[in-house]
Amino acid sequence: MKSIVLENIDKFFPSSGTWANRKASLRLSAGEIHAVIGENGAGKTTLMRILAGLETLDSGSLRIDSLPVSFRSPADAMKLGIGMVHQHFLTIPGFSAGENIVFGEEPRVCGFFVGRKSSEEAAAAAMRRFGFSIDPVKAAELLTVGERQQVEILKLLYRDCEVLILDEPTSVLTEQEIQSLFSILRRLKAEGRTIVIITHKVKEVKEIADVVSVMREGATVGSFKTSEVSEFALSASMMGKAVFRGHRPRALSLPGIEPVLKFEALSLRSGHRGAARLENISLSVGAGEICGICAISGNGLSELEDLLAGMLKPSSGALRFLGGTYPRLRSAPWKSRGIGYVPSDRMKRGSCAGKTVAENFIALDRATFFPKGILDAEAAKTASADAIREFSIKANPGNYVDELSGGNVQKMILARELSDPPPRLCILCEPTWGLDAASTEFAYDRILSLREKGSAIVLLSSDLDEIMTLADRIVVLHKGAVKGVMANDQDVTREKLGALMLGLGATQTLTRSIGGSND
Amino acid sequence: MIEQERKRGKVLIATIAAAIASACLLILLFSKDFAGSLYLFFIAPLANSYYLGNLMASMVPLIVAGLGVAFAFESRNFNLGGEGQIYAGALAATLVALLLPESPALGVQLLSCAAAAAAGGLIGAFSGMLKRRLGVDELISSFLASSLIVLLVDYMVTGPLQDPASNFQTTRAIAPATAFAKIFLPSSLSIGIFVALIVSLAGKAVMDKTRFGFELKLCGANGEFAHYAGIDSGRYTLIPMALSGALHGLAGSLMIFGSYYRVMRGFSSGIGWSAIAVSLIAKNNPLALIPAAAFYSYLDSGAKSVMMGSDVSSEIVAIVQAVIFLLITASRLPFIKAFAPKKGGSE
Repeated sequence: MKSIVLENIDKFFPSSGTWANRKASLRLSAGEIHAVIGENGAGKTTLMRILAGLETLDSGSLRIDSLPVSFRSPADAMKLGIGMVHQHFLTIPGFSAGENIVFGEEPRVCGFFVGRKSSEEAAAAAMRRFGFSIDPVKAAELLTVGERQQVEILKLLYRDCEVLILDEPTSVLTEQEIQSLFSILRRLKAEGRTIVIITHKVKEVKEIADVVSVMREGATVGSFKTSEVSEFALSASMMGKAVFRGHRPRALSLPGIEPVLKFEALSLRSGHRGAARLENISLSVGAGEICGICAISGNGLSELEDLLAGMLKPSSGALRFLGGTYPRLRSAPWKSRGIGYVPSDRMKRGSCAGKTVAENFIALDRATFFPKGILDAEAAKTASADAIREFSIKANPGNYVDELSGGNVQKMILARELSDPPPRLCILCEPTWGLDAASTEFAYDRILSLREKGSAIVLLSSDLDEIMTLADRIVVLHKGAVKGVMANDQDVTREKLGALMLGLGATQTLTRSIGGSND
Repeated sequence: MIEQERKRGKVLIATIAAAIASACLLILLFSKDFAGSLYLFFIAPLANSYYLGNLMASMVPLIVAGLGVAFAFESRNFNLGGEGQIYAGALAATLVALLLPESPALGVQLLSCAAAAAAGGLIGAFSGMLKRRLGVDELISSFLASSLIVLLVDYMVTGPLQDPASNFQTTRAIAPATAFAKIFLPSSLSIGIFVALIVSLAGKAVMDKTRFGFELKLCGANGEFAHYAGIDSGRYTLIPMALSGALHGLAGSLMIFGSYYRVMRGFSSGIGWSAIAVSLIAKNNPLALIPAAAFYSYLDSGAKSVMMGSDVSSEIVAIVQAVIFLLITASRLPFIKAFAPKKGGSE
């Protein structure tokens, strides 16, 4: 196989009434790593699903080595050596890693029987051949995310795929896992395979890809050699008319006001895994302040989220809201108590996939939308339509949440949690994780305008750029304890924060007071 | 989503076609008079008012109990105790009616139905309570409780409440004046069908238009989201199970007032299970329960008509029903799988 050409591809989704692809074209050559980049909803994934035989094209042509082909199923594409690793992995729990790899193409014993052992041996042989080192006997549900991704890649290699399409491969990986993924990809490229990665992270494109194609609103708007294009030019090309503003000026927050949220020597000793999760955290967050809390995953950020969400109880110490006890999540609708909460797990905790946008929108404020216990359908529709307009969400109130792109789901959650009247306290957990630049920009604007209106904002994020862009004060957690508290000024650098997050350097505390006091 | 709906629609049609085809195949295999048996199976149930009326009468408990199943399913609870709840409801209704022989019919009917719903509801609530307080799987506990209840009712029917004047294992019959009015003679179709239709309409309204229904469905669709939204998920284990049991009990009382007038040993003969099939066909939509129950009753009465009118033996009826149940269950497997216990799901 030398080249794959997709030309003038159109794809219309009648259910949402949108053109996912409009005159999209793409040219892939053998032995290259080709990045397909674009904002959420730009049509990257749809175009690649067409190439992998998961969607049929409405019009346009697909040619492999100049011969026109048409795929009716992923199996057709697989026959020609094209396979896809999905954003959400398809490993089967209860099966071992090895069984997952050879699933459907198991070696047959006596031409008929399928055995666990022979499957795992075949998988082990494939791993040796391609230089992977996962334990083939390990149960799929015990694999780390990175390992599961490798299993997905091995599935394709085992089936002799020449063209591997990876959808947002780095979105769930840690920094180290990303590096090992990239070295795997480079090795596969050296063997002459073609790799396509779908992404919206410009930095990674520069790092790994040879060629990059930019998509916007369903069409391909440009194709570049990665070495000849700057990160800024790529961002600009992705966003079209939108302006990239970069870091923004930051106002000093208001001193001397009673803290909205107060952590009093908060500890959480036995989490789900029986270990000490949070150690003696004392902190205050005042009105009009954004307190950014950052940590490497596994260092207490998610426990802190669950505590703030009222889903866990501290084993000692206390949380105070406006001087009183912190409301338990299930005691009353939070919105009326003045707390907005954007969970980091937006698909499971933040929204309900099988329900409509309108139903998701009214879910927290049931007292308003069910006066006397009966649904006020008109009010629900109006309120959600207003939110859709205000937050420019690409959806109708009647769309199911699983029809929306990830960015639009997050906008829906932001609309529900941060709409007027402004909450006294906002708990924002990874608010822009996986969002494209325009949606991120939009979310930042909302968050900053809430601060102007006097909300106290707790921002839990593992994205240092986000913390440094938004926060007035930065708190670093390491192994569940506060490792540093500092004003977000010129002295703060990524390197400094990174060192603290890794537990290096002395514990730092804030020297001058801003916002609520630091106990 | 729309594509999914369309796909599910296709699956449903394929299931129905497969059910009919398998019935034909079984008749072809076991009947000497294929054409005659085919007529008995597909046409005879609709051919005269007696059969047609009885077919509609048999829809009554299926719709009401089906709604009970649907309420449990929608909140992600599994009530497998329908059989016992129907039986207990029927006994409670009969007892009340027997204790008040001289009272006005409407009063007796209302009181009996309330007693039946209470009996079924208590049994359902028992399983709901066990799940809420102790984390006992409601699927197992409702099934086991039902098995126990069936034996208890059997004991009552054949022991203390046995009709001394009858050779059958049955209680005394309720006063004829208190039974539901017949509307389609000579069949047993009574005003119970209107009760069933009203119950299904009410069920639709509760599910789609009320806060209770909304919260119940949120708990079923995504427990973590419901929790995050401040809904007490324990409440939506207890109440749907109780409501489910109550509707099953009510179905039992409707059978008594509409068709049976007395509790005979084993008279509910699988209605509780059939109601699960009906609810699965209807995808828990209260209004869709009506055509689903009609379809199920149609196949059921066709099977019985073949059994009585031709050389096909009674086992075939059971086999046809089993095949239909199997096909429906298989077609709804993704839904049923959603009930598989999840790690760290409950609090």
